[in-house]
Amino acid sequence: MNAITLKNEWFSNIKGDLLAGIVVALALIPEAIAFSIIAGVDPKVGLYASFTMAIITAVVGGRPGMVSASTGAMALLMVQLVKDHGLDYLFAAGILTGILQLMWGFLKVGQQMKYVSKSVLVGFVNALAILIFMAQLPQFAGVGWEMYALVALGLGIIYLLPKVTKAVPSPLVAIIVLTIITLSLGIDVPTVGDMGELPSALPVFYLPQVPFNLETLKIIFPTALTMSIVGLLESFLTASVLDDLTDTGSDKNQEAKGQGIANLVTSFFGGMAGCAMIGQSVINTKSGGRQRLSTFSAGVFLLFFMLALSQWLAQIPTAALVAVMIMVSIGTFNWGYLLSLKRMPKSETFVMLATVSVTLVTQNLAIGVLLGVALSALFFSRKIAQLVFVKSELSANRLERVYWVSGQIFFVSVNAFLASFNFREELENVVIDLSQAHLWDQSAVVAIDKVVLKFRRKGADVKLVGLNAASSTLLDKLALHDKSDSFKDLAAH
Amino acid sequence: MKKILLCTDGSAFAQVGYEYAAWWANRMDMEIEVLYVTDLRKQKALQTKDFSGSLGIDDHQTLLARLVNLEHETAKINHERAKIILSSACQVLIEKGVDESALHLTHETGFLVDRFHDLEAQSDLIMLGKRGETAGFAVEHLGANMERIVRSSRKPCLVTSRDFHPIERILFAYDGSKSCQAALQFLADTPVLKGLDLHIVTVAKSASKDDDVIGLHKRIRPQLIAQGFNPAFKVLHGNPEEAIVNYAEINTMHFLIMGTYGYNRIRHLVIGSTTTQVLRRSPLPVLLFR
Repeated sequence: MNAITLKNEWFSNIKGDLLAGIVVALALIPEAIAFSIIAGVDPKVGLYASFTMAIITAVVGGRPGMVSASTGAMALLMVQLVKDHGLDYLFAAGILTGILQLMWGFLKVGQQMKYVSKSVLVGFVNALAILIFMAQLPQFAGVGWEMYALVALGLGIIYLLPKVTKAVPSPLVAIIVLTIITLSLGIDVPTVGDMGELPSALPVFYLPQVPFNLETLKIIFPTALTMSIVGLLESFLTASVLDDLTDTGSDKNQEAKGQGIANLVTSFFGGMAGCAMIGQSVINTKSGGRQRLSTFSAGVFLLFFMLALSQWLAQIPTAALVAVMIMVSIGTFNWGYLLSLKRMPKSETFVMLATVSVTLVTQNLAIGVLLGVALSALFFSRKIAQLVFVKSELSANRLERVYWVSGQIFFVSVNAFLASFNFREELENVVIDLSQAHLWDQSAVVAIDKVVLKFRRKGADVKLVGLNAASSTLLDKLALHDKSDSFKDLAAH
Repeated sequence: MKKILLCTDGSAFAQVGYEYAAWWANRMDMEIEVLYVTDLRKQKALQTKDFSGSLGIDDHQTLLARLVNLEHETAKINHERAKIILSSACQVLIEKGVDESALHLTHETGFLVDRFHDLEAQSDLIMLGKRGETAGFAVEHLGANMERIVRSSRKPCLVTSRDFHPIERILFAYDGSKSCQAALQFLADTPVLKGLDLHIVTVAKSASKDDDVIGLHKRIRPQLIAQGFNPAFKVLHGNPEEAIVNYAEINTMHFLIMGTYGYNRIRHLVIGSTTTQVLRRSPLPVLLFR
């Protein structure tokens, strides 16, 4: 049975996978170079990473057909580390990222994705798109009009060519055309060759030259931790996009382990840490790639192209890369969400915007997401707390009142709960019917205590009825009103 | 014996399967579950023929809509196709005299081989064609699904061939193995086969082993007679597959019973080569036991 599944995951779509592999490999080259530029490392670091990430996740990842390589989300996180401490510390951080992600995988972090709401995910994607776009802006600093013209031409080709033919990758055509124009007309614009070293050989095993001590750990740990989280977030998000597109499932925990192994190996072979890429994975699916063979072949083709074409890669004007990256950022941004903003609940929009703006300010997607998750939880608890209703009825002889409580009683809702009782009434009996309510925490029990004790002080006998099992267990454990010395302790609340 | 799982793909080979199923069900009280599985691969991995490698605005939402539409159309066609195949199977079976209440029609989407174990659990006899839809251009090959199913099935499998003939004479290739014991038990439990002309042959490695084989035959003879058979025994020599196929041809047998020879761990995954050869060469339906 397993052998059959394995065969399906690899060889059930050979032709489509290989064709898509070529398209993806060609699309990966400009992105890998551009992300290296963002991170402030040689283009070969990003290219090597894209090769090893792609083939390793193809084998051990949890989502067939998902493209992993060096990415913008990760590149943005490593800028400071590279600037302050250099490349070896980046590789060390990558190794630690891999180890952390493996650990997340074994801790089954995939299940925790449920806490990341749709609006946080949209915020993540939009922030990512804006960050990728903004990372292109420095390329325009102090350049002539030629650069703008070339970028515009590149974008024109990228977007208009598919309307004529979908048989050739339009970004590739844009790159070739721009390179030919700059070479033949001798236009003086920066090229990829100016950005650093390009690969000329296969990646080799390399042990980062860093001291193995606590000092190093202190330097790399914060970066590694955020990279491990952001990498998994983008990978899980991409995986669920692909799950939807292809109507198949994926194993998120396996994906976490796969990302871990891929980052570990990549960092030992002179590559920067990476993760799954939304845009490339969509391109892969669009080109017909479905199975593991597609991403594996993308890695192999990438290696072939970058070694075979390394002299030509150096001639590519950065304007072409900028055009490609603008396309990537536009393609990554969730435009449909903007249109639905009017219909969205305000709190959802707020969560999305908060995620985006905090990410943009901190340049750190992990912080943005963390804030988004916290805000979503906050808004949710507030909404649930509004659903506490108390109604009551006075008996005919005006000596007994029955309160019916419904809703979720917990720390957010206790104030509203307490406010609905009238303690000034002169009553002999009070019945509190909790059959439609649930007590969630200590605050809820304390509130019940308060209500009971306050009525008692007014001389009324209080009866609690209709508690569900979980609530009454909690009440038994924590409540004071049914234990001796209760009045003494009330002051403590 | 209660239920036949009749696998069909609508091909000519499957039609013959309907006839055998009807033959069987008309002679004893049996239900027939007709199974058609739409191959998932036909539905998935639809090519969108877009190698532009570019990302437009909200591309994945657009792509999702496009894929959903494409798959929706294909799935609809597949559903129709399944309906036609199953209802024609149903019609054939009813025409052959099977009671409508004994028929169950099942359509699944996925891979036949993956879904098979759940489906066979409630069945007592599996029937499937030697080759399938692709038989037309791969005459020499056995159906890929057939081989996988026979390999992994825990139930007796009847592999039907190109033509139907009412079963009168049964050839049982007996070698004393465990799977042949299962076949003996099946003969005893299956009233349909009682009273038919039963030939039991064993291929001896050499003439000197003849006595062993005769001893083997003598051991099972009394029980078969007690069950109402009148078996003819024969020792054959030479290449097993040739000897068996030739014997069947000369004596105009209609039905062949044999074991699949797979017990130990490694052989668990392969059908015995003799079985494969016999399936390939013989025009008879073959009932296989593991």
